[in-house]
Amino acid sequence: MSQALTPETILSLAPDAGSAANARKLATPGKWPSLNDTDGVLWGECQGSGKTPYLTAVDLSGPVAKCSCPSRKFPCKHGLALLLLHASHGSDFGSQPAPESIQTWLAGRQNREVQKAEGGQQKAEKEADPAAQAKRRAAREKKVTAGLEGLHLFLNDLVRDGLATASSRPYSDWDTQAARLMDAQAAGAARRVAHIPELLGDPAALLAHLGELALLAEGWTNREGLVENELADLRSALGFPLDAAGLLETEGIRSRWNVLGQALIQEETLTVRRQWLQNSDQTALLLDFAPAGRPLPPGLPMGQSVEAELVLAPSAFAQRAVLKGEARGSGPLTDLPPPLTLTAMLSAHADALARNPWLERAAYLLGPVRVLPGEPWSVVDETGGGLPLTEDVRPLLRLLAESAGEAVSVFGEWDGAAFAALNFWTGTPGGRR
Amino acid sequence: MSDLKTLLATALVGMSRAALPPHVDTPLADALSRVTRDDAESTLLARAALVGLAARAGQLPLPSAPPPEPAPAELRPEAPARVTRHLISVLNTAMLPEWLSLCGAAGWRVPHADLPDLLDWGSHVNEELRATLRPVLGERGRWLAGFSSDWRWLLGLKSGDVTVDGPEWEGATKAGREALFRALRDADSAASRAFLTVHFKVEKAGVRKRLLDVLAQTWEAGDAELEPLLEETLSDRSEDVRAQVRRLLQGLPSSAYNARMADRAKAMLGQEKVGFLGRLRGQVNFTLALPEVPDADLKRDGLEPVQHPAERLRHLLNAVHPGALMTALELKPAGLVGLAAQFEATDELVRAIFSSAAQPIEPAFSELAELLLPRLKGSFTHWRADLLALVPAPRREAELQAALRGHDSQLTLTLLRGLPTPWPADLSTEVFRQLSRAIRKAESAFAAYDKNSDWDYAWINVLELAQTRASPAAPRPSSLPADAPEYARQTLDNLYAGLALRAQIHADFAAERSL
Repeated sequence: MSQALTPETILSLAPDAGSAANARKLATPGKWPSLNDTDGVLWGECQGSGKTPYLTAVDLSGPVAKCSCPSRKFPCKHGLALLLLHASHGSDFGSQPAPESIQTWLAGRQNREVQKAEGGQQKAEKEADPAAQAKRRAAREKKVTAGLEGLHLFLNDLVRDGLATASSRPYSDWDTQAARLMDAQAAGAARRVAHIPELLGDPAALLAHLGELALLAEGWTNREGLVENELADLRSALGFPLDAAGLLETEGIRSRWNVLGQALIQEETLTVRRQWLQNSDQTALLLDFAPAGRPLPPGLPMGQSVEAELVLAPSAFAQRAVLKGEARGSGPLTDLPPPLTLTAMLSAHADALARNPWLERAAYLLGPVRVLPGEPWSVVDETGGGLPLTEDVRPLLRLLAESAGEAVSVFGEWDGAAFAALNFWTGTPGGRR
Repeated sequence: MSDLKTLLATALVGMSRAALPPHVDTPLADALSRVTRDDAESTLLARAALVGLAARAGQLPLPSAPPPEPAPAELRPEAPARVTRHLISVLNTAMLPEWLSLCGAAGWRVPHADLPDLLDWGSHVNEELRATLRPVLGERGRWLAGFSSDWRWLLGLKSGDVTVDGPEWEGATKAGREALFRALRDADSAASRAFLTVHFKVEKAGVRKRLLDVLAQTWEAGDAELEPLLEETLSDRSEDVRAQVRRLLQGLPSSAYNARMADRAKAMLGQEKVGFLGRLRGQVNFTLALPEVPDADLKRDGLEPVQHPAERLRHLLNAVHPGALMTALELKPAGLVGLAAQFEATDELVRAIFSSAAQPIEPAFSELAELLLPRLKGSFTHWRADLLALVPAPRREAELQAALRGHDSQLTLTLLRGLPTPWPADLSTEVFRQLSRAIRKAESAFAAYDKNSDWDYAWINVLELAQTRASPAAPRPSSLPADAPEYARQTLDNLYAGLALRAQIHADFAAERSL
């Protein structure tokens, strides 16, 4: 039996902010005519908008929820509320056996596990015609080549005319160039070009950024000389999608993974979720996207560890990964690496950049460190050296509230300019706060 | 010069006008010199890429500022887990203030992890709700509030923090000055009075009006010492300011203004002889006459010249403190109401009561309100609930019971609003019963738009009040029949689930406090 999850961990599983808020409101026993906890499965009935109450169940080993409500979010607010109730009102749970529909669901889950273990041969048969696939790939590469040649000319023009005149160019110049790269299916390069106008006030940063773009274009021209992992990094930086289906065909790392942090980014038309997992000295990044207004796929319990099989995408600095099958056996964090000083983190990051010059961010466990309010806020280690923190100080206020300004361990993302704190521990990481 | 600066100097000018710069005696000089491409532009860009990457990879921590003062030790114990487990479901709901009050009454503070959410809530609510929050935030809460501009409200203002005689005041807009004065009232009311005495007259009319508004809203007994200033302000150039100051002086029973008004009434009144029967009933017939001596202060006190004495009397009744008037005329409340009734001035008397009534309510006002209730007519019937707020509690409760039984949703709502929380159990049950009756046919919240529907907005508001104010343990009427609309059943179920949660919260607090 796993320990009860904290409300914070439970709410981190919410597919969107609305579900989390609604789950809080439903987390009172008065709204649940029945609540039960049998053998690691929670189930209960919640009065919903229909005449018959919804039947909700949570398999704590995932945790994975099932509900008879019409919501297409997983887990839905009822599943989250059931977990919250279990954490706060455990003694209100009875031990009635689950109704048949839930038993069937649980049995189905176990069967699927068995089938998966026996091998997923069927999928391979659906593999498309390799010849057609190669043709499509060649067509795309041709497009990218044309797009990047255009970019190269554009960059050369910029430095020939002088960056001093760059800021007087009409905005449409940058937009057009970004749109061309988008059409050339080089979304990563397009995104970097679209970022240029923000740097026009800082010529040094602009020059470095243009250099990075030139490196992308040059890298593509000379891609024959790159080893496989380097080529993968280049393709990913250019915006080639990850071949997740292909990766899932291969063997992953089956282990107990610590789920250390989660970043949710609300972009204009997209919600991006980055979940950072760790196992011995390997950090893995699970990336999920959802169009605006749509729920994210089910996430992993933050601050817990899970049994999971992760396949790392090829890279000279492997961290992007896909989850193969389902994570189970949620439990406390285990075997964490020793936290790093700031210097050690920068050194590790330099190492990562040496392998993948296009690396946008990596995640590290720092400690013992303090956070210092200021403009900007900073993270400081025992040597007195500091690095800037990201602008969103709300999580830092929570950190200060609990740490009272004392040293803590912080897990977060470093992007070369600012550290984004995602999770922290006032005592030993994984221990009680 | 650093490699980046050398490259930048060339890049800014443009390769069409400058040559590639050499790199000498820098850590990257050798590596950079080896980077060459077919054209100078490409070479510059490739070197820029190398320099940029080297800078990113070669970062070092920067020296940092000294850390903030450590958080002081807590003086209150943390609330036990059995009660804090409810925070997650009551946060940002109408039930939170009750939880906070219970926590405050128990002498506990909230867990540190909940401070940011609660401080955020405090930033969005009024001062009355903040008062439930302040005691339970603990020392850590006050320490933490110093780190976010959104949470400054918690730190409050010490008298030294508000400066109203410096450049901040000079530079402030009308609204800004109002806010500064309000802050000064909060921090130090004696200083605010001293400030008014010196500063009031030099402000513009718009600001003078605002300052008096603040004074009226935050009136306290000590403000009576401002009477000389207020008296002087009766001659203010602005009619708005004069009207406001007359109301302030009317509310001060012993003011010279009230004395003048009462004297005028006294000078107008005579009594007619009544017959034997009338004397037996204690009947008094008043006569009115306008005084012949001209009254120099008439205009200053806001009175217009009139043709008929009754008109003057109505003006006076409207503008004088009823208590001061009763004293001057040696009348009991019944006598005053009789006078007002004789000259059709009961509406004016009602208004005067609300311009003058202060907390706690004087018995004479309570009596006046009882006598005036049956005399309300026309548009003044909407004062009913307000007058009921002044009458003694048993009378008000009887009225509320009658309103509930008579399905008068609006009056029920107003009377319930005036009751202290929690309502008595039997009243709560009666409210539940009436809510069930009113909602039982409602298909949706839109029923409130339907003229023929029993379910209206006043009932919806009663339901919201009941959620947080009804006695959580009060017995509930049997639930709606199975064929009742879903909306009706669910709305009531939600109400009962909320009440069950409150009952649980009360029980948990009681259990932990008795340990």
